Amino acid sequence: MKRKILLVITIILLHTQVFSQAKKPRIMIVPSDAWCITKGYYSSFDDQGTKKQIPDYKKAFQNDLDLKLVISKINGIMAEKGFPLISLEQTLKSLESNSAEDAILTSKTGGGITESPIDKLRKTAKADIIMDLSYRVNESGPKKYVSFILAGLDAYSNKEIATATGNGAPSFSVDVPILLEEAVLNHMDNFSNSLQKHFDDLFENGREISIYVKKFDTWSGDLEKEYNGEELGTLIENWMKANTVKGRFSTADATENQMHFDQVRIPLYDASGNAIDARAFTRNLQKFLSAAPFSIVNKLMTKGLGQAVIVLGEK
Amino acid sequence: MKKLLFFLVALSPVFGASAQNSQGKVDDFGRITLAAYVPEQIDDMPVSARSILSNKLSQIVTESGLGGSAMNERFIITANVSVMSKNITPTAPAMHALSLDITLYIGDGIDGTKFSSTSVSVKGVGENETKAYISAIKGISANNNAIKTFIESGKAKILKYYNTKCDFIISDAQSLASQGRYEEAFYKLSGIPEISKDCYNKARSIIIPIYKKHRDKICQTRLMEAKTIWAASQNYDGAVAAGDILSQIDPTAACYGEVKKFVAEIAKGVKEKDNKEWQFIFKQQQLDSDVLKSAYSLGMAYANRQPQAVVYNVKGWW
Repeated sequence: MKRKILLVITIILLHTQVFSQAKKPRIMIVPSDAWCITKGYYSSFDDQGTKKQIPDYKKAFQNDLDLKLVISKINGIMAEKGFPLISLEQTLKSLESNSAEDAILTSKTGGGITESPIDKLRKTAKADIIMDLSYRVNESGPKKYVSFILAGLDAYSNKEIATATGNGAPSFSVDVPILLEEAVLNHMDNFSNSLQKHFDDLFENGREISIYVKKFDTWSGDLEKEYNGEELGTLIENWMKANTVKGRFSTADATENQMHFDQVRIPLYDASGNAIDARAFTRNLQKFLSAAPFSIVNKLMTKGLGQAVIVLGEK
Repeated sequence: MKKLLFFLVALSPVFGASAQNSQGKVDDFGRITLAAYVPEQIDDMPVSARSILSNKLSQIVTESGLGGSAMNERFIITANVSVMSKNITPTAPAMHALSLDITLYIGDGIDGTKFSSTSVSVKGVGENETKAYISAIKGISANNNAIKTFIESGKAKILKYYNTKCDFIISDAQSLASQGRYEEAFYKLSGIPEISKDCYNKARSIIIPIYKKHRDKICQTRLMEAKTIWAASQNYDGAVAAGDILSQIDPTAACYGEVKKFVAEIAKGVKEKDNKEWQFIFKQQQLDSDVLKSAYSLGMAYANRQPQAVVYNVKGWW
């Protein structure tokens, strides 16, 4: 019996140790669009005739102490449960300072930093898992209570992987921070359990990523071009079947110009035992397309741990 | 040997025609120049992005060897910006991604005649719309082959303009000179580029007689001013003030004989009134031996006195 218990404990410890070596997803709490717009923390834009409201997170952090308190509370709870979070506020600050540094960085001969539009577009706060937060203080007669929604979203599959919603206990307290703290404490356990299940699933069935294959308009070929009697698109799907965990992936879109694969399950480690992510996995597809019989020059771009884009035709 | 000589002679104008770009000149005299102009009509373009676009156009003309001063502002390079796509990403911070079609035009901004045009597509990204515009405009390369071809095409059309309109330009200048508007005449004539050989030579041949008329007119004006000063205060101080005016007169002017007589009159008057010796130092040479250069300077001075904000006619260009 003792031996069995010891064996189980050893397996659990090994499991935890191995998982800790895998590339950890970055988790970030982001106030929801609805919360930002309700509170007035947004900017309006005319997008070629369509009026758009975009959340202004910087404004929210600078003006809303309640938000900071809720995030701080959730950070504390999540850290205790082994899920340290990345601060959106600090990320925004460091993006600003990095941008300023890049703008003024000059070589001895007067050269500056090269930055393509896509590089600039990627200079945003990135997270693999987004914790979308909304809360509202309600009144029920003389009492007040907080309605609370926390949704954990996978940034690449857009799946909701954990959720915590509900109302805090009604209270005569007029102190909003106290009401918020109670609501957070009441709902965080379910949330962190769901998150743990998601990580267990990753370990079991591989990380879920999203892969796009596109083409530059300067390239004369397309995904319907045939090699040895098979279309290029079909050959890419065959490669996916052979290289994903248990052949699990979905072809979300496929045309002659682009393909989109989602729910692509990739192993957490390569054959050498090194932790891999979307970039490392898709680099193999890039090599496959660069080699004969295709010999297609292509460009690989990635976004976080779970999204990769291959553009065919040029670097 | 004769054939080789003939071939080299035949080639010489070709080399001469490209001289503007290969050899730098310190002034705009005899050069084709383009003024950068960003019209108000560009829809919804942020003000700071407009000034970046203006700088970019100036950079294009400078790198093409067509940069100029306020001297020759007839021909312009201008642009129209069309937003092909605009995306705002729901990220932190929100990013504005713009895809712009920038059409460049060269033409006669006074007559409103478009000479040549080309389009370039650029993309820009920034934390706000202004930054996205600036980022996109920075992407216009002066070394772009389409832009180089467009500049050459525009230059050829400008040259054609001078070749076909030469007689009108010359007669306009003569008409201005006959009205005593000499500086304006110099401004008009000095815009003719050296590359338009026949027209340039015609302009040179009429600049010299016009300059002489202008010089004589200035002589009369200055002499009158000096006489007025002397009449008001016939003493040593008055003589010094009148002498300052007289020293500005070109010694080759037609009325310089009268100047000499008047100087003698002043010297005599000072001796009688103040018992002092007043000496005027006569210039022995022209103020500026290079008549063409002087005419250009006068034309330049005229141009600089004109209102800075020239309203160009680009109606129907896009």
